[in-house]
Order: sequence, then structure tokens, then C-alpha cells
Amino acid sequence: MPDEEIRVGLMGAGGNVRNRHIPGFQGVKDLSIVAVANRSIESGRAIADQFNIPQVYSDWRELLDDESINAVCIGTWPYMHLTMTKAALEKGKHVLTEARMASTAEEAREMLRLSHRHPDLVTMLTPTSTAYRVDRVIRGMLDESYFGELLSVEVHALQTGFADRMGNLHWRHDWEMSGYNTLNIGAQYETMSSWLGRATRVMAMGKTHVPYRKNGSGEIVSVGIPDHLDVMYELAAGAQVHMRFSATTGLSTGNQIWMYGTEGTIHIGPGAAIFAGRRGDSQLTEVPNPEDQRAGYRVEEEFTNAIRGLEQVKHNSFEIGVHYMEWTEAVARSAQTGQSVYLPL
Amino acid sequence: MANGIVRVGLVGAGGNTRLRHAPGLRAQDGVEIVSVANRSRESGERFAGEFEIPKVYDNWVDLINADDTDAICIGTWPYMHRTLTLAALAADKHVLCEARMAMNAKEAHDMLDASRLKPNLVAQIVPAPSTLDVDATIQGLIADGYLGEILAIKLRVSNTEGRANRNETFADTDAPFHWRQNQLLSGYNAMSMGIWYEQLMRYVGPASKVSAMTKVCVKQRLDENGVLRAVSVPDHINVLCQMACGAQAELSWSSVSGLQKGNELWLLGTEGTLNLRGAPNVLYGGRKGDDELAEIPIPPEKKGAWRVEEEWINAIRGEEQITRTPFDVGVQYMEFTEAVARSSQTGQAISLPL
Repeated sequence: MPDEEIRVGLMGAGGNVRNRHIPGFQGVKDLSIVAVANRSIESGRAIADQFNIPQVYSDWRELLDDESINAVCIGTWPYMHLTMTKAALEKGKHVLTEARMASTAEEAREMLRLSHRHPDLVTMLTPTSTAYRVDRVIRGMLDESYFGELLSVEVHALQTGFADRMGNLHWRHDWEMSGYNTLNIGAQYETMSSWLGRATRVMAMGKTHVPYRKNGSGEIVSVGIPDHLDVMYELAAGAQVHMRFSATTGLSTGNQIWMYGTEGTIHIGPGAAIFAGRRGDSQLTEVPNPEDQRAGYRVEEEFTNAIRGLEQVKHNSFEIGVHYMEWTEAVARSAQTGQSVYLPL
Repeated sequence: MANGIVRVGLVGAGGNTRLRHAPGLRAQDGVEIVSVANRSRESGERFAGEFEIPKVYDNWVDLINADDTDAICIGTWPYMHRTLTLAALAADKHVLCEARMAMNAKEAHDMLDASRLKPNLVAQIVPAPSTLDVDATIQGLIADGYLGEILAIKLRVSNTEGRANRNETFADTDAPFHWRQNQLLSGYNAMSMGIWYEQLMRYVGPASKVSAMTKVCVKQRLDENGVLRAVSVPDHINVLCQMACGAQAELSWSSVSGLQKGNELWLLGTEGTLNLRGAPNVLYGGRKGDDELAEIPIPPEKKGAWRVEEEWINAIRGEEQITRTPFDVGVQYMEFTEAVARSSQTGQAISLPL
């Protein structure tokens, strides 16, 4: 549909939809955001007023019945992604879904199968926002074989506050809403696999250090999703990776990545600073990463270009989502059973 | 003991015996090093000359059975520790055995059992040495509740042993096949895994479950005869542990992490965090409400030091109990070491004790 106007409906309008997708869509030519359906009609109306969206639906199914809409942006929590994607594709609408892709690997695979059934429609997942700032520099170094042979990788995604005992229940703590997604593991794996390739075997251990939290009604509820997780995996290319994710590591050193090869080491520190060194160097030195040369956020542009046939969806295709959801589920299964889980599932 | 003199025979006289045990024993009152047996008579004689040792044996069997010897210091590589310890105890000799204790958990258990059959004899393993200066301070802080409940542990060790050049940190493909890389001599021991686990146990106790992945990055090395040997002892190790104290630990050792230097240990609790960086050891800590970690000075009266030979001789004289390190602690770290190997072989978590 190169010439047709793109008419977008928003299904779920949480933080990322307001902060990213709506402004992103508003920057695209010949595109209108025509309707929104949120958890309540009141919250939908508030969004509509804020962003001049003409139509508010009380139910996402009504939004999908609106034949003037040809593309939807699904911004709910993961538990609804499969259901909404299926319904939207069946109504002939292009789909941009918020990350994480789904609750389980099987849901993700079902979404991929549905997309294959509708090759005329664009399906896309919102990519993680953590890697943009360093992506070009790292890719450039990988293209130059900076590592020699990659041997090992260490990733820390650590919050620096102490355990929040009896803190509030977030949807990310709730299995019903989030499925196997835990902390930000899928986003980290998405980034690492985009640089280094996929995992073949996973071993993991997890703990829930804050086992009870208060829900929105002030009730104390039990939490099953870990808030501290260690994952080891082997890359198809042979290197060994360890990742630690935690919401309970007070005064820790935060988010960092180290990648070690036979000939070179790359370290990504907090604030997207990149340091590197090769055999013969006495220490790591900072690699310039000028802001004007960093990759930018262009999710809505890529989605709408794909609808118009101007480019293919790369970041992210549903295939990428299946990969990280399979890895995410492998982590959970290994943590549950104490056994290695091999990929693909 | 004749006239209160402890007469020591040395079996195996390698680096640590030269550097530590022989000088350490000579510094004790009423101790004589009466004999040595090394891999060859020539190397034994050289050592005897250096430390004024009167008798050189061609083989350890005669040394251990000699009537004029009370105690045996075993300084061989791990593959001989069980055999020598059992023989020495059978000959009614006290034992100080070099670390790592044995090739595997079974051998360590055999040694512990043998020592229990001879309760009149002292059996000691050379302790893990790299945190002796800070151990008492860290133990004291934890006991006083500095950490609250311990939630998470991280240990990251950059290994330099067996390198041609210890300042080089990238994968060392030129260094010769080292005995530590030879499974026939070292068993399941790899890099400084047992050392650091022993040290960690001083603070938080043992693990109850272990998952591990290991990798041999430099797969072939030339031995001293110029023969290319396949290496099966890993040079990169990742271990996840459930600790008996409730924490989750993540431990790694690597000889192939370029430009990564030194060691770091993190103990993270509900109320505070301790971070030991080294070497040399510097301790940092912070508690809930603090903005950042700050250095924690080590009080001079709490600063421990190497006193292995003194402790052994005192124990032989009935003046103290062995705390660094008794055989049962050696069994614990050998069980951990074997659990790491088994988990990496099978891909399954291994529960401890074995």
C-alpha cells in the first residue's frame, strides 16, 4: 500500500506507547493515529485528549472492527500479545507489538506461524532500547574481527538498590501478566545475540529474594518470578557466556558487559562508555562513540516503511522474538529443573 | 619425638616447599628437617644442600618408614597426596599435605578416614593463602550483621598460574604444558578454584547445589619433551551455586580474560555489601543508606598471616587445634571441585555434599 494513508489504532497505551510510539507515529508522513483502546475508557480518553486521537473504544475488539484502521500498535503487557496479534491479523491489519514478545515460547511460535499465514501484512516487534547507543561501534569492531576468536562474555544487569522487602507488586512480578519474562533478560539476550549469535545450551539459577509484595489493593501477594537470576550459556560459535540479573544487589556496579577474545577485549560500562584493548596493550582504553554517529530510534519509521514496501522489518522480526522467547523459557526451565536446556527448544 | 624435637621428612620439594615450608619449619624451635625425597636423587640433593638437610632418600617409601622421623611434609602434586598421606599415617607420622588436597572427592574422603583412624596424629592441609590478612575482619563484619541476610555472592578470579608471562592476560598459547593443566597430576583441580572456594567457605559456609560450565580455550600445549599434549583441565570456568546459607553465588575463574586483572569478591546482603579486591587485598563496604562503597581498614590486630608450619608443629605438641586447614574442610572443597567437574560434564546441577 505505497500510497494509501496508514491509519493506526492503539491497543493498550502504557508508558512506552505514550513516550515512544505516539511521538514516533506523529513524525511519519501520511499517517494518522485514529483510535485508542486502553484498559478503561477513562484512561483511553485521557490519552486521546492528550494526543488528539479522534476515537476512543471501550474494548480492543471494537477497535479491530473499525475497518478504517489498517495497522495496530499493541502496547499491553505480554499476556495479551498473542491474542491481540491473532485477532488483528485476522482482521487484515498490520501489527507492531511491544516487547517482550509473549508469555511463553509456544505463544511466540504461534505468533510467528500466524504471521506466515498473512504474508501480505507486516508484523514487527519493538526492539530493546538498551543497545542503540553502542550498536554501531560494537558492530564495527566485530566486522574487523576485533576479538580474534571470541572466548567468553560476562554481562551484569544489576540494579544498585537493596532488596525492597514488601515493596509494590509490578506487572513484571506477576506471572499472569509476564509469563517467563524475568527482569530484563530477554532484552539483554536480544542485544547479545544480535552481536554474537544464538545460544545452544543454557543453565540457570534463580531466586526470589522479595517473596511477598503488595498489590494495587494493598493485599500481600506471593511472588513467583525471580528477582535475582544467573544464566550461563554456550554460543553456537563456541564462546561461554555468563549473565547476572538482579533487583537486589545494593551498591553493586550496575550494568556492564565484558567480551573476551583471543586477541581483544571489549568492555561496555555504565552510560554506554566503550573500552577496548588488544593483545600487547597494557590496559583498556576508551573507544570514541560520538553521539551524532550513534544509531537512532526508528521503530515507527521502520514499521511504516515496511507497510509501504520500502524496507524489510529487521528490528525486530517475529523470528527474533521467537529466539529470545525460547531462550527466556530455557532459562526458566533450567532454573526449575537444574538441568541444561538445549536450544532451539 | 626424641627429646621434644620434631623430626620432619620432606616428600616432594617443589616451589612452595622451598618458599614456605622448609624456611617455615626451620624457623620453629625444636624442629629438625631430617630428610628429603624428591623426584630425582639429584634434585633432592640440591634441596638438601640448600636447607642443610642431612639425609636424601631415593624414594619416599624409605623416608616415610624411617624410625628417626616423626612428621611428613608432603609437597608433591595432587596425584600423590592420597598415597603418601595414607602411607605416612600408617607409619604413625604426622602429616602436613600441600594443597589442593587430592585429585578428587573420593581420595579426599579416603584421607579423612585414614586420619580418623589415627586420632593421635596431626593431619593438616596447607590452607588457601590469599585472604589470610582480611579473613578475620570479614568474618567479624558478617557475624556482626553488616550484610544482614546474605543474598548474592560474586567471585571473579583472573588466573595467572601456568603463564609464560604473568603480566600477559590474553589466552597464552605459547606457555608449556603445566602440571596444573595435566589431569593425570591434578585431577579435577583447575586454576585456583579450590583455593577460592576454601576462602569463601570461611565467610559463608559451603554450597548445597552447583551448576557449572567450563571450557578449554587453549586445547593443546607442548610438554617439556616437545610433545604436543591435549589439555583437558579448563582454563575458563563459570559456576553457579546455591549456598547453604541461602545466598546464590556466581563464581568464575579464567586464564583467558584479556586485560582483566586481579580478583574481586562481592558479598551482597539485605543490609550491606562487602567487596574485596586484590591482590593486594583491599576491602570495601557500604550499607543501606550509603551512596557508595568506602574502604574498610583492616585493624592490625585482626590482620592474619601465614603460620602454617607453626600451627602444624604446635598441633603436634598438643598446643593448638588445626584450623587452617583440617582434612574435613579439604573434603568439602574437593567435593565442590568434583561437583563442578561433574556438572560441566553432565549439564546437570549437582547437590552437595556428594
